[in-house]
Amino acid sequence: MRGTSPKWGRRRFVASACGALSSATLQGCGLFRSAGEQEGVPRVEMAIFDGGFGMAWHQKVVERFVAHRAALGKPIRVDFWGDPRVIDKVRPRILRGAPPDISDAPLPFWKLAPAGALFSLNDWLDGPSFDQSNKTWRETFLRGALNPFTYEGQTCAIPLTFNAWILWYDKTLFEKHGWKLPSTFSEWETLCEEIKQAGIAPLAYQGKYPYYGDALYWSVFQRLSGIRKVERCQNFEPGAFLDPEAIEAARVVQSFTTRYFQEGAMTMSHTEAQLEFCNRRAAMIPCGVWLENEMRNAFPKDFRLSCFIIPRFEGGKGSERAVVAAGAQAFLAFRDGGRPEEGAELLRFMLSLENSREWVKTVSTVSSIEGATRREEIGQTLADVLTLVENAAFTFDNRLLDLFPTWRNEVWFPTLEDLLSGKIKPEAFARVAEKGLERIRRNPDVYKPQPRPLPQGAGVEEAL
Amino acid sequence: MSPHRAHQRRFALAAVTPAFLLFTFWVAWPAVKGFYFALTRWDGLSDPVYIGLENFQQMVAGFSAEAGKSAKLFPVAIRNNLILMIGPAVLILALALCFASAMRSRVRGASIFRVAFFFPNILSAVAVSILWMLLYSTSGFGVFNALLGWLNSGLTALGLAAEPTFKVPVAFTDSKILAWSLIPMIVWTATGFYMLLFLAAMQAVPETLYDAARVDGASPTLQFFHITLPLIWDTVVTGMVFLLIAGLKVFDAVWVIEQQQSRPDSNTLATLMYSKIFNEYQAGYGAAIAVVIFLAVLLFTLVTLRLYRKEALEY
Repeated sequence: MRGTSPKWGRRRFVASACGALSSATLQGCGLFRSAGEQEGVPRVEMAIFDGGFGMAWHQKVVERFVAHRAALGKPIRVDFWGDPRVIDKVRPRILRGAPPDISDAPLPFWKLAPAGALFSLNDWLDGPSFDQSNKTWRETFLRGALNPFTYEGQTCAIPLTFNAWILWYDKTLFEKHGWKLPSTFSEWETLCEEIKQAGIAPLAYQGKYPYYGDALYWSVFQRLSGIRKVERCQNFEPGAFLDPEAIEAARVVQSFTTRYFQEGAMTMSHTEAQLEFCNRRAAMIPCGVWLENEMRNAFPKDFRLSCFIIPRFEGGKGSERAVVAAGAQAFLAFRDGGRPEEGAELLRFMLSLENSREWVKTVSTVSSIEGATRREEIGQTLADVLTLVENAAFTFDNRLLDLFPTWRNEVWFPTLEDLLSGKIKPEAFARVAEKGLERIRRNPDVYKPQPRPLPQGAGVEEAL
Repeated sequence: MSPHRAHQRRFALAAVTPAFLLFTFWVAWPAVKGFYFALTRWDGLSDPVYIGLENFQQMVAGFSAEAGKSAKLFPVAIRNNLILMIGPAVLILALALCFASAMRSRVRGASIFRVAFFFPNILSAVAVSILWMLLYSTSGFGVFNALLGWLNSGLTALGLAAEPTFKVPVAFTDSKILAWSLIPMIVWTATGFYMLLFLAAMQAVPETLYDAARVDGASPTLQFFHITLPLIWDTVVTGMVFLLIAGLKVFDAVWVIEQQQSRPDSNTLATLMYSKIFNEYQAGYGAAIAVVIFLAVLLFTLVTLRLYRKEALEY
């Protein structure tokens, strides 16, 4: 061809383009191994959710891990990357059978574990912890933190943080009005009346996110009836939602929310509702441990954020100190990751006491590792959260949300919203929830795990 | 065939082949696979299981009177899509035609209006949704609720009402009425674009036709219905089809305002499809919804082509 060098002719150009295209495609499909692996150095890949907590801590931990392995004479290469949409990148790779070794992408544990896609970490968890020689790695976790990630006895994911669903308030506002924290549910109702009389809404609520109301329901249910009845629902026993005490819990919740939720709360997003709380148009708000972090720049200077849990009921059968809480932001280990053993090793290093302490200092949250969240290194607000977690008789959570996402989206959340806003009677709420669960029970295609044991803790026996 | 021509043909083939391969690999093949997945039970993680038309039967079953609320997801999504197709289309076409006519007759400040009306169209759908979320908010930042509150106070102060006329805050973004609440937002966003589209078509109509009509004593209204509208009908039909197809594909606004949560009352076909695939891991059912959306868009496209053939008018 005219104007083209003989060395770079048309045919060669087309052949090269096709070659480059095929190579890129095959690389993209993960069919070529990395250079590090070819050199005989094991390569671990870690995919991170690049969200509010950032990746600086992960970077430091990885560098330390690589140095530690090199010092042991067992060099390793860790490829780690982050993306806000990490889930969309990891999901197709799971399908292709070429996932990263570990990832904290918010993937469905209860779909992956029964499908055999996850790698059991039991051998590592039941072995020594990295830097607490007298404990196994499993023993270093806060009580209940690993519960949501254990499938038929095999723990396949490790939570980085520990989340508790609690109630938040502003000490300054409470002191200004002379309001006292309630010790019983009826005192809480009296307090709400006082708050209303002061022209402030008692509770802001993130109505567009039913998760917040879900924790409210299960807390009340446990306080009223004890953990055994809660666990009957969690183990999807027939008729569990129709139990008179489950219905009574719904009635109490509805009576409370229809009177004390802020007007218009049911259509507020989390930021709208939390801003109402920050701007003191509402005196309290139910939320997870992350509230302080999330709204850091929105609190007025004199705002003194603190927290409490749903108060006990006079005559209630449940524990007054149990908290809806569980490990969160979990790292999953993938069976098909190529180097899952090294991935597990990295996780054990990452969640050592020392690294977890640094995690707490970096992002100001409660670590899932016992003793990692130290009062002297955290602010007063997080210290108050820690007190609630440490004083909890036991922790429990609603596993049905993750187990049965269709039931959650189509039955539970819409019905719960109707309950909280007074659009449905408690009896009808219970009937709809039970009917939806009955469909799940009859559907052989939906995986149903074994009944889970009662949570561990000093207060469980008295809360049965 | 001359050697030169054969040479040219080979080169053309070589040039087209990479694009063709890319299209086949990245577009055509996934689309074919999508049709196949619609006939499977698949969680998107493990191997799909062929179940024939079961996913489509499940959709149709939702239309039966005995179907429970959770079975009615598909019909409710269809209803919401119909609201979002017809409501905005009617209002936008009417308003855009009015504004375009006004612009054509060179009303005072026409150029300012043109920019003002077109401006929302350059904003991303997510930005527009967040903006309207704030306008509709029931929190202290909600503009419409604040206006209604002031209106209540005004009416009471003037003695025109003994009690507040409007019960505020109005939950504009309640899932049950969200589709209706989106209509003003879509109208605000899209009217400017269609106004410019129609204005361009109107400016192509020969002025002599209007001169002749004026000589015959035709009023501006008569001129509009007997000259303007018939001569820009092709453009109006195109606009109508664009709007109907856009209404069929609404996703962003619902997803942003509902905070990425799927709600049975506010789902559209697109949000239901997304939720089924990515939240509930029912990729097979989600793919079946995608097939329905594809067929509906195809139907509208064919109808458009048919309308073009029938209504084309020349001058």
